[in-house]
Amino acid sequence: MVTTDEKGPLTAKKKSVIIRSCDGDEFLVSESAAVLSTSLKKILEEKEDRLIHLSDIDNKTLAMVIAYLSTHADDGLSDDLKRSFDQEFVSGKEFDVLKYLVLATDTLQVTCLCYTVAKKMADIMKNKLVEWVRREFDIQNDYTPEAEAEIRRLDAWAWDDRQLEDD
Amino acid sequence: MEKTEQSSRKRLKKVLDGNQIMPSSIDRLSGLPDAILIHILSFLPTKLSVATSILARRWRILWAHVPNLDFDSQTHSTDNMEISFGDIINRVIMLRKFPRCIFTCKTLVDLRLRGYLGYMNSGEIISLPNLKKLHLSLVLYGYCDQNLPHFLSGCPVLEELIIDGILDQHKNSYIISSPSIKRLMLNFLFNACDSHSQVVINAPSLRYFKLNDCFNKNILAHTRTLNSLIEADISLNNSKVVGEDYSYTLSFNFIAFGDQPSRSFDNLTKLELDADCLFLKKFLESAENLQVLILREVHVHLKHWMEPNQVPKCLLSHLTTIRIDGMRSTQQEFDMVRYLLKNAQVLKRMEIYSRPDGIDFEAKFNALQRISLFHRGSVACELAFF
Repeated sequence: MVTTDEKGPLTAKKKSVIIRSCDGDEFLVSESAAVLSTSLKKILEEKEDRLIHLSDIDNKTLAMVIAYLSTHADDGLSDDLKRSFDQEFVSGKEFDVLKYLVLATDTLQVTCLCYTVAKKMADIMKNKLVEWVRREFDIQNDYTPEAEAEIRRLDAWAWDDRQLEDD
Repeated sequence: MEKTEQSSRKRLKKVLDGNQIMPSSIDRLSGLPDAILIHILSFLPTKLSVATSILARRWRILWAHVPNLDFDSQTHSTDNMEISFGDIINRVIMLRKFPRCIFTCKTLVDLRLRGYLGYMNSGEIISLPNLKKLHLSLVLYGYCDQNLPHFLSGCPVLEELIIDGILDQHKNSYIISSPSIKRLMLNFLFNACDSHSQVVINAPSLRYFKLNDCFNKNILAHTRTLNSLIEADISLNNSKVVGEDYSYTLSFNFIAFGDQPSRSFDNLTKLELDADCLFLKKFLESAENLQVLILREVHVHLKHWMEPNQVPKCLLSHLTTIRIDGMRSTQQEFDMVRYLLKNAQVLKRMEIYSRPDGIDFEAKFNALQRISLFHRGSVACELAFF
């Protein structure tokens, strides 16, 4: 089984597919890895072409997703190893990186990776203050002060300790 | 190519255009579709996901779409609050897209309740046609024996049930009855309730059973339940009750329920036992198809080793792997190891881990030397000593 995340040649081997990122770089991926993505599987079933162009996913994100797919397609690795790979995979990653990953896994429909990444994002959100979340997630607060006060009054129990509390 | 581009989601283009990996777009998280945000929120306790409603207008109702609820009365401080935990749950349910009553919710898949006292009575209509996973933690079940069965009867596709502790003080029996559950985990680590109370299990589809019991509950399982079981992880740790007769009662009740105890665990292939090794004899006799046996903390549990009268069938034909943890090199332990090595005819590997602080290097070497000389019923058996 050949899996590589280097730029591949245009002529793909029979059991491989070439995936092109929105930056134009191409990745040679084994078919067994590609079909772990429900979207790629559908595409491969529908067309003969072994070149798939993903106009929404950049190089860096695509390389990570392919590394994940290739690892999970490797029958030589035990489930335990794959689980620890998953943990390693998301640990220490910047929130922005996780965001592009979760978008890519949603597009490519890689359910288990989507789960792992979303869970990691939730873990990061825990024990953060509202302003931290707004800043990191780049959320514009579009409430009027009156509206915000009303929400705080209605669901006061949700802010009765320091979690997701204002500074 | 056309097709590929069409099928990919257009909304991503905005954020992922060009070569830049992190475009300096405004409101980057808001670029994520609702479905993903809801997925992320589903990993937060309900209280925290409600708290996100303060972030922005778009977030006001996002949390209400999360398909699971996770309440913990411990994190709800009631000091200076005029609102009770029950009121909070009602408010959450009212705000959600769900029906008013949580227990007739058609879409709920995963429900965790902790310290939750209301509702659990047989008068309530329970209809959770999609609930797959139920986690009850320190729940007060009420006085009526039928409350738990009544609740479970409203969950026709439930696959996993976790019960962590029971708070009731005056109850005699808990009946866990479900034709659909495949995985059952019971943790009785808190001695909150009367230790003489019993738990009756009737779950004919059960495949995995984990029991962690520190308080000698009487666990009774219907024969049908045990027939379908494939994997069991049993920890019976009881530091409190010293009288051995008492724990024996437990083991025999647990295993010998039903009229054909010798055929009880027909499908059991893997057993992890952290319990008095007297149970081991019973298990070996009852689980004909056992392949993997793991004995934990034998130095705590092995008080007397009594050989079975007849060599159990699993030793003759199925048991291939044995792992023994926490060996202290006592005569009892050597007797047991000798018996297993001699009689396990198809054994491939036996791993023995000595108790970390237990014996020095020399004693370990002597133990290894002694064990390696034991007769092995299976020529192919390898021995690993750590």
